[in-house]
Amino acid sequence: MNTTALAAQADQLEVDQQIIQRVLAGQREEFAQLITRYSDPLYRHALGMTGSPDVAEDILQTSFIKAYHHLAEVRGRFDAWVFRIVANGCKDWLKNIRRTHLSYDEDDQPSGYATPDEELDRTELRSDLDGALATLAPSLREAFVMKHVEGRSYEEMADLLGTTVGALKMRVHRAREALQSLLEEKYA
Amino acid sequence: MLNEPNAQGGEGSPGRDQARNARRSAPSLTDREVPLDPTRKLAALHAWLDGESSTTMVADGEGAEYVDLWNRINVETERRRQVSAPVDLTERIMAALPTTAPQAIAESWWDRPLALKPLTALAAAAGLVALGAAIGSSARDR
Repeated sequence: MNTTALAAQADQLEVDQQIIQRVLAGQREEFAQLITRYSDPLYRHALGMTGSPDVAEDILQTSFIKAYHHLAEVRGRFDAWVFRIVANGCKDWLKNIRRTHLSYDEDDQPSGYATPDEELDRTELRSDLDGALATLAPSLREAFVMKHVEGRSYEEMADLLGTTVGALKMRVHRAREALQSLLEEKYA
Repeated sequence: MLNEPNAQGGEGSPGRDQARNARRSAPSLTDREVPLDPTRKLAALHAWLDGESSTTMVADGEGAEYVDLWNRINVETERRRQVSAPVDLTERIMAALPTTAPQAIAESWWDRPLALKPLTALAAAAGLVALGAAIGSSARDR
């Protein structure tokens, strides 16, 4: 990580700490700032893991409520701490509900494709990709979603998940090869 | 469906059929970790997908047949990267929070660091000695 990124992270940490102190001092409404700052990446993670916008929203809501109750326990980065709450929420959900096919709510997604053929093709790939993702073990799915959907670096992933870059590369590679084997006959 | 993309196809060679049958009887991906390709033939493909090399490095080597598939997957994952949380999510979460501020953790007395001035320590020691002497003398009187 370069010095600019480190400085930005330090600034972010300080701002978060100030907000947390204000919330703990009784300014409850300040917590909205923390939700707004981090809801987009957390929502993308939950959506990628569960495949359902409704479930992703529920997990975020439950996670932020849990974070609010335990706010005094935050040590270090709030974003990493709340990410772990959301990630665990997703894994718990996957453990409890086994679904073979999940897809995004079509109405929520804007279409950027010009022709009906492209639209059909896109919808088919989206559905097949969701189906293939749903067959992956949660740890592989998590690694793939963080790398490809959230666009995180391996270093960032290692930091958030508390594991090594090597282990995560292995998981991402395994996930890719599994997805490839599921999709190649139709698309390759 | 996805596991058996060509379930109706019947013109495959015996070797191919055997491979297909083996694949069908294998446990699902949820039950086992997918083994890595032992020869790591796809290293160039992974390097490209990890942003460590360009497509041209993959084009002539192993994994070239997957470039188109991954370009299509990348378009889809890129689209998903633009997805935002619903606009009213913050409002809904705030409405679901308790009206009181979160409790600051009350630190247990045994977890607190002990800060003792020398004078306080001497006074405490003298107190303990006096207490010991008083107990000793009352025991002797009995």
